[in-house]
Amino acid sequence: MNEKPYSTSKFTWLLSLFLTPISINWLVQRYHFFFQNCRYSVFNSVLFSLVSALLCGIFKMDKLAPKSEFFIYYPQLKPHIVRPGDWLRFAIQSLYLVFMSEKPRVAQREKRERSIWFIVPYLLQFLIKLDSVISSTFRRAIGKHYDSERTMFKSLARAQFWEAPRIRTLILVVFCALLIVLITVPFSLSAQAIFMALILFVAYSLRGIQGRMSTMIMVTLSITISSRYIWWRLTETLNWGDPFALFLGFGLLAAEIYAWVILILGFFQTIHPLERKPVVLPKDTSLWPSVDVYIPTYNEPLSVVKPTVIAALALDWPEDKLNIYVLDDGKREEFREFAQQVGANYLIRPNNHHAKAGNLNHAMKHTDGELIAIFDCDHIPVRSFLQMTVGQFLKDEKMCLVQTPHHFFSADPFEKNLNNFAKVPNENMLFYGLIQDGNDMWDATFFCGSCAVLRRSALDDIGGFAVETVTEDAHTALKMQRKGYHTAYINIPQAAGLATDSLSTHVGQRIRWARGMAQILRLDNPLAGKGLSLAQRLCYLNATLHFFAGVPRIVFLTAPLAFIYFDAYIIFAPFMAILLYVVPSLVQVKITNSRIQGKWRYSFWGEVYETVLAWYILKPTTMALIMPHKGKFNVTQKGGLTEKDFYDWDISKPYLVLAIFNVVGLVIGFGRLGVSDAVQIGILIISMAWSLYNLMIIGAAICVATEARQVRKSHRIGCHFPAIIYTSSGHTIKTIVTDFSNSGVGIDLPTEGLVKHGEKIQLLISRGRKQFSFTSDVVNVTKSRVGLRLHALSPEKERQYIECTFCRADAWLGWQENFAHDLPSENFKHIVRVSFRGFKSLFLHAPKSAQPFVKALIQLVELIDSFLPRKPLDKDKIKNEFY
Amino acid sequence: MRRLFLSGLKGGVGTTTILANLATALVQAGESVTCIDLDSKNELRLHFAHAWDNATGWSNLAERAFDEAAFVDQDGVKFIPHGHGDSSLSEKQRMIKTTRNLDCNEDEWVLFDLPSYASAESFELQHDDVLVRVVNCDVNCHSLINQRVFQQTTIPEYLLINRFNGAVDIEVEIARMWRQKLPRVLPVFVHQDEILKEALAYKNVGYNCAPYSVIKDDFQALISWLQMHYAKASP
Repeated sequence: MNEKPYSTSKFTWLLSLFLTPISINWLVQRYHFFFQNCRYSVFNSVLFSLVSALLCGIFKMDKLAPKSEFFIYYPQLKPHIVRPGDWLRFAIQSLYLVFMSEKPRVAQREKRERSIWFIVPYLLQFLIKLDSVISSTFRRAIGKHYDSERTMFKSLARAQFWEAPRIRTLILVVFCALLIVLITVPFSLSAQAIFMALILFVAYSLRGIQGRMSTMIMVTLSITISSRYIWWRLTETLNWGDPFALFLGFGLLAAEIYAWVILILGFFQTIHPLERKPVVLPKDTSLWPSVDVYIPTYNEPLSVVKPTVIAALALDWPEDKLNIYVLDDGKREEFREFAQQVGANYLIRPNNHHAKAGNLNHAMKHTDGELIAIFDCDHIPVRSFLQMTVGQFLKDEKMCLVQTPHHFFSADPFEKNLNNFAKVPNENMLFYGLIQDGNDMWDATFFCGSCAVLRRSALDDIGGFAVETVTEDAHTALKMQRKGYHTAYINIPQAAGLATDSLSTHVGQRIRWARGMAQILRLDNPLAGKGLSLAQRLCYLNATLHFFAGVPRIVFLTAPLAFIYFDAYIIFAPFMAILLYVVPSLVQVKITNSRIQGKWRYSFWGEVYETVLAWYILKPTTMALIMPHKGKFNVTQKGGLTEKDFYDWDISKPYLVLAIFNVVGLVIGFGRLGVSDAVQIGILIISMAWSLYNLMIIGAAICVATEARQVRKSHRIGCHFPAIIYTSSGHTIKTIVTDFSNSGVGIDLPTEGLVKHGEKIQLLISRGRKQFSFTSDVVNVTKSRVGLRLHALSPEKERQYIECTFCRADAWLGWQENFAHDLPSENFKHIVRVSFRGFKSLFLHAPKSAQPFVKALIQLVELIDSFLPRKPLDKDKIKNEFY
Repeated sequence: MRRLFLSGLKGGVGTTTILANLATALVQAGESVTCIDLDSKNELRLHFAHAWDNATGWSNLAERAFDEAAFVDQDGVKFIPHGHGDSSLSEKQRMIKTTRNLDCNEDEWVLFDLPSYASAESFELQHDDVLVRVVNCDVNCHSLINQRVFQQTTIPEYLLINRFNGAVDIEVEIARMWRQKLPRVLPVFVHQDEILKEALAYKNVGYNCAPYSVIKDDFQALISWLQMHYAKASP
């Protein structure tokens, strides 16, 4: 054997007696990788290289390449850090890899996609095709004109006889009778099992099929199955023998009925979102109505109000038909000066009666525009706002309101504290993305207080903005609709603003909404009174009822404890029956909701949002029901700065109490498992599983109360539009603006090295044919990405800057498309992670005396966790992260 | 044949540079272009890397000796330099008329670099010719525009703003004013960019030297406008 290449060390010489030069070279390479690149000790390096050689040679894990892929298979080992016990972790993971024969996750996913269930949609598609082929052949055979569009199904659906009222009533009656039978007929357990399996099978096979038809079927199935569940609960599961259990059982049943009503109302509301398109305005601008823009403010700082006023002045509308009014209930001199300086009107009033509604009503007396556009003082409109909305008023004389979504460019407390901004659709998105669009179908869009245009004559007709409740917006819309006016919703973000900045203010805002909606229910019940269609009544009813979720949510969060603590059978039924009724109903409802709402609300997040608010909206809604005239308007604070992380102990008290109850319940439950008989154990396990689920949701709520530090005073807003820069040498460069804030801009240059750090440049942004320049400094260069800080802006430049950035007509358009459709399993995992983080942060922010104990505990858990074997990492994911 | 006449409102506004860059941009867009320098300063050729001491040009060659006076630069732009020496107005007029007889196809672009003192009348331009006056956004040009009555001839004079710097307030103001008050200011303009100066030092045009510069966009926009204009005029 040729020794020469390996003479550097005796060790390799020794190896060369047994191995081929290629293998030795490979081993040496691997040793150097561990020793030099990963800075492991000699012992560890030798061990690791030998074992990985073994794995490769013996077990054919050919993908275990020497370099960075090592850490894909050994995620618990970190380069550059050698901890004691790493060899043990390595050994455990190696054993795991060998015996579990885990490939990286990419392969697994491919396997999943080949699952047999994917046949079902294809099968249905095939059937539809078959139908079309057969019907067209049939038509040709009987000599009719061939038309591939007209299939049997479609011609059946379009047939004339559907229009006959008798046939429609008949079909409806038959359908309802069938439904009632399916809901009320008692089944034996096995029959129930088959029935549920059938429904779930149909639902599952519909999963891959797009379109409204299959959604309708899903909804029908959900209504059947959930109604059947409620019927079963009412007739068979109440424990009449035990008064205490009966009392608790009634409580749970009431909460369930509430949830069921809300579910069905929700289905009704969102079954067919209208997705209204803007109406084009006539060419002749003399036909355009005059518009007053109201910007009410009370205690917000000028820096928040400024951009809104400037943006309102820049709206694309004939100058003589557009008047901007700053309605300052704070009566501040600097606001007057600012309004004068930029050319807006400034209105104040002698008193502050009826808060915002009073402020708007006062302004109506002093202005005379045909239409009134309203922006909260922190909602910055884009220039096309009126172009997009006003057309509706010209098309329909009875149109009294056109609402657009509230879009927020800063993270709300959920997004901020859970760090999922622009990753998980926020709380608002369901309402503005889906529910309002659904309401619009039934002509029941309601006013949301901002980003909307109203008709003055309609407001005059009802005596101005409603002042009876603290949610003047929804009530105003309700009153106008009672008079026969129409409302519209245009789901195109035409304004953007700051979200509430801390959980406590967020909760405060929701308390106001909840109280106001409860007041409406009490004072002007949408079910009673004149002027509304049934659909409108139901939509408004859902909007108001929705805020009573507090009590039911708390009932759900504590219900499983009734059995664990008190042995009270609140669902008085055998284990199997509970399993067969509860689980399929929940699954079906979850799947349907995920299908309908998936783009705007991810599974399980709704429960987290509700849990956070539950305790706080409980009292005001109940109070408002009893004494509707009490309670004052509280103003929502925005634009603040959280200087460091802290835990909001005050706000999280209710969740902590609930968490403690559930944890203690679980402990007791475990204790009881040993001493219970066979009948009890089933129920006990169900209760504990439910309690664990509750604990998970509560953990997420606890996590929200960890107020994260807010670093930037001005928010960075992502965007994508072209601009030009002038370098200090007088050259021009085309660039793309990728983000902007009040004081800085991020740009992406076509290549690296075009500007230097610290260079003073001119940024030119075009708006229409005009070009605006902003002097700025290069403060940050990372490859082709460059951060610019704007020099102090003069008032004139500031106006131009806002017009070039916040007011761009396309500024917020792409926002909603960022979110993929909901994947329930992914979101379940996400919530679990969030929940763990919540409990961890609870410990980290524990009182000082408990800190050392808590730290030791966490370290112990982490230590044990570090020894556990893991699945190899996802290769794609790693690449993306590196990118 | 699409004849385009470029002339400065006054000397030194950058007409020749614009013409050279426009010609290159057109050729790179797949068009066939011939440039004819009618200015006795004989500068156009420098942009096309013509030998500095080559005195040849249409003005000092016998009539119809285009074969000897015409050159092609590396991009494929055909150009006829003026040649050292002077030429009278009538000689220029004759030269313009001669180009009518050039043997070329319909789509050929013929670009003329006119001296700044030339008026539309004196060259007897035809209705399908385009005359573009190059201006800078400064007070001198503003004053000249106001002094001079734009004759309502059959050939309208278009204004093309060159060396526009959006970072200078007065330029922005003047451009805004012209757009509002003057009927034929081109919707496109050419930005101020040092690369246009530097390129000449390499005997080249800025269009070739600055892949990331906005002037590339400017010239492409100018071409689009011209194509639209000719398409409108031709039927």
